[in-house]
Amino acid sequence: MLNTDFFKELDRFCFMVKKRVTTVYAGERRSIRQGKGSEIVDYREYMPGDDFKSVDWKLYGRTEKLYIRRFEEEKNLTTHILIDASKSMDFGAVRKFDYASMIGAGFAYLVTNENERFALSLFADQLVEVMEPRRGKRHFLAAIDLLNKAPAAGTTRLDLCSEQYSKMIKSRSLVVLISDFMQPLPSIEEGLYKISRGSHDLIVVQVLDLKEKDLGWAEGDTKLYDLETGEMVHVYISPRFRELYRERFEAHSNGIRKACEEVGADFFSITSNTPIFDAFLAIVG
Amino acid sequence: MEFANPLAAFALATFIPLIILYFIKPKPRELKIPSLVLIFQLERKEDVFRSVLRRFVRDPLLLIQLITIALLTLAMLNPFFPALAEVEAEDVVLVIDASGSMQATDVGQSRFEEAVGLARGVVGGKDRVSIILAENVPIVVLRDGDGEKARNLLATLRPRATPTNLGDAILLGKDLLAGKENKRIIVYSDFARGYGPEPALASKLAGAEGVEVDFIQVGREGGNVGIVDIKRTREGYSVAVRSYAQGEEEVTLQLSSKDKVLSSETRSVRPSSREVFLLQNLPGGLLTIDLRHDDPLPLDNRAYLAVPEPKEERVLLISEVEDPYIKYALASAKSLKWQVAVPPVIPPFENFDIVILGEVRSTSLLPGTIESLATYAEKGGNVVIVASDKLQELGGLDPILPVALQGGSGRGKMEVRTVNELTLDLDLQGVTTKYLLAEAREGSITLATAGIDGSPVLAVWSKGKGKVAYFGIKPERSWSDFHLSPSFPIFWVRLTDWMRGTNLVENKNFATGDLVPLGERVEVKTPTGMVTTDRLLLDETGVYEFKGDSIASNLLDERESDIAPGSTVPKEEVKGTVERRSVEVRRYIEDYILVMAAALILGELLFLRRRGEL
Repeated sequence: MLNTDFFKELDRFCFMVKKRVTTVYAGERRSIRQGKGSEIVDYREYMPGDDFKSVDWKLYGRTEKLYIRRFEEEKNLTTHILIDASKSMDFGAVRKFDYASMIGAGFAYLVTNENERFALSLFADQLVEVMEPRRGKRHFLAAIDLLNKAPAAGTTRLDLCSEQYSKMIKSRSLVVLISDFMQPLPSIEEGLYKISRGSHDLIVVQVLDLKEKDLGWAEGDTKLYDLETGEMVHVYISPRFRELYRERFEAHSNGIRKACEEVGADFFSITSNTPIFDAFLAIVG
Repeated sequence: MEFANPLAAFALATFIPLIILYFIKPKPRELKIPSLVLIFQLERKEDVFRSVLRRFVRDPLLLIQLITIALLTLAMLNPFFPALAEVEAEDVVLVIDASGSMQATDVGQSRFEEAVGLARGVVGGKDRVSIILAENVPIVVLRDGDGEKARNLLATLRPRATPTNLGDAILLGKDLLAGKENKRIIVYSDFARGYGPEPALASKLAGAEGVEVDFIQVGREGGNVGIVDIKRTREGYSVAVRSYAQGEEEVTLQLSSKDKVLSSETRSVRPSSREVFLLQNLPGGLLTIDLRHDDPLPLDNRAYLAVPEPKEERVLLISEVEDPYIKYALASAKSLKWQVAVPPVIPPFENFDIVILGEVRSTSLLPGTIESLATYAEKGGNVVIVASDKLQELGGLDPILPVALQGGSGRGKMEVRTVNELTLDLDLQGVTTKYLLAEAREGSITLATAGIDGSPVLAVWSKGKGKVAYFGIKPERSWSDFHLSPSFPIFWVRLTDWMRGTNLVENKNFATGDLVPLGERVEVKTPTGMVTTDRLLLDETGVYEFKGDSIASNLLDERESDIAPGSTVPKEEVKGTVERRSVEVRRYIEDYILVMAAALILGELLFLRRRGEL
């Protein structure tokens, strides 16, 4: 649950970040993307099909050749923060959902301070809450309110939710995806691919609890129930079993990391026992 | 599968506490985790078998322990499979026919060599082997030897020339195997005709005592022609040649003496018939009779004949009867030179080979005559005492007379008590005669008796180095009519022949297989070597020499010469080879089960280690 202490920490956090990060969210970044804008980047010869309005007639007067102007696109950036609100996030001494919310709020706070637009949305088996991209403190507070009230429930369908959300992104954006990614790897890969379409910048944050990472707290004859589906499996948890589980868990995380590399996303796997500022610094540093 | 210790099944009761222990163990913990999807993947990675097993068996340890207990219980049950296995060590009696027919050369070197070769191949190293040579009497040449010893001994055995007696050999083998397990008798023979109990019957008797008898036949064909009999006749010697061939065979009989051919005669012998050759005017000495014919059995193609040197026997008849009947009986024998003496004038006994004391009065004899007669007998003389009314009056006869006279006489029919060369074919049986009441003395042989009291009328014994015979029928009508019968002169010729003893043809010619008592241990030169014995078994054909005398030994056996194999044992009982016997054994498998149980225990430990509990 987010509280006022958290905002104080965010202020301190923002001050630290400002000192260290000068170009990421300064609103002055040049975009490598070309399109309609105000500043001319260069010229090229007219080709049939090009917009006739783009022809530089003055240059035609001097050279008697048709050249069209190429402009830099708008450089304002919208940040989309997607947080997993499925039941699997309702786990841990520090709930994974709370930890993910803090990271998401951190991004929102950072963006708000830079007077950029952000949208914060929750997803589970579908998009649960979707906020319009806006600027301002009021919008930020609404997002905090949403995070405080959101119940962690339902299963995770990243593939479906990514497809739905990617259709809502109108312009080039920064997408921050925060989840525990507890679903089959193919579904995760599909979700990452869909959300990264449109050349968005993508930051993927996996939030885990230490207990689920090594199963060190479980031992012997055990019935394990899935938090999301309620499915049960009867196993004997032995050191060997834990070792296999850890290997499997590691492979799962590596699979996500590899998928992120393929789509050009930055991947961060963080356990919820990590101090939030250290975690945030690792992500944006 | 069967179990040697079924009571061990109660050990399965240990299942109950084990299962109870598993039932009362704590219930599994129930935990909720977000990452079950990964555990599902782990579960999928397990092989199908384990997955199925897990579905049915919640805890593999229980299954492992139950199976281990089941296996240990199974091991305690001593499970076994009945199976057939070769007997490792047997008590084997090898009966090898060593008779004359086994010298036939229709297979290999000879039938005997073939049999020995087969026998050597059968004997195993751990067997206890006895070997019996089946001659006319069974001879044990090895008793409970090991396999190697038996094989070595077999290599040294040689065939004999006796008739065969397989039945007694099998019965002896049965007796040798009494009280033993895994016992068998293997008989190697041509199963040509023989003597004694039938081999098949002996086999049945042995089988009744648990002894398996295998008959292994050697020999392929018959077709032999051989000398099967030699007889002395009035005219000389008859030699019988028997053909067992399918067709008519031409044979030549050749008589030789010291490599000098005396006579030769060629005749054709028809199939399965007998041809008799007559040999006359034979000189004394050792003669060889050869049958010139090519057949598988050379053994019966040669016979040896020891003919006594002609010698006149001197006989003294002491009698006061005028013109005694005995005189005429003696006159019928050409080889006898006889003299009648009327007491009191009697020539010295030492000048005669045989002295016959006929009817004389005691008063007619000079004092000391009877004592001289006794001394004569003691020193090797032969005495015949003939009964008369006055015999008892003669004093001093008791030491030499084979009967004790009781005084008085009786009348009754004669009865032959012992059939031998003296009484054979003589018409003594049923002759009514007067006789002197008498009892046989100890050591005498009673050949004939008379009357209901059984008084001896013909008795013989040895006295010192001589022989004494008592003839209890006075040749007179008032006694009987025997002296008038044709048997009377024959009887006297036989009696004098018997008295002469060793110089007879019959005492110099024997059939193989005969046992000749020698009286004392002497060195004997056999046809193939030297032996020292007091009882000579004639198991070779040829000439045996001992104490300056020679005797001939011949096969002369129609059954042995008939070498056609397989007539004495049913064909279905004859085998070609012998295989080592199989017996039902128990193949215990508890060792394998224990190994499996140990493997399971090891598997359980590995499982626990893999699960991290060790």
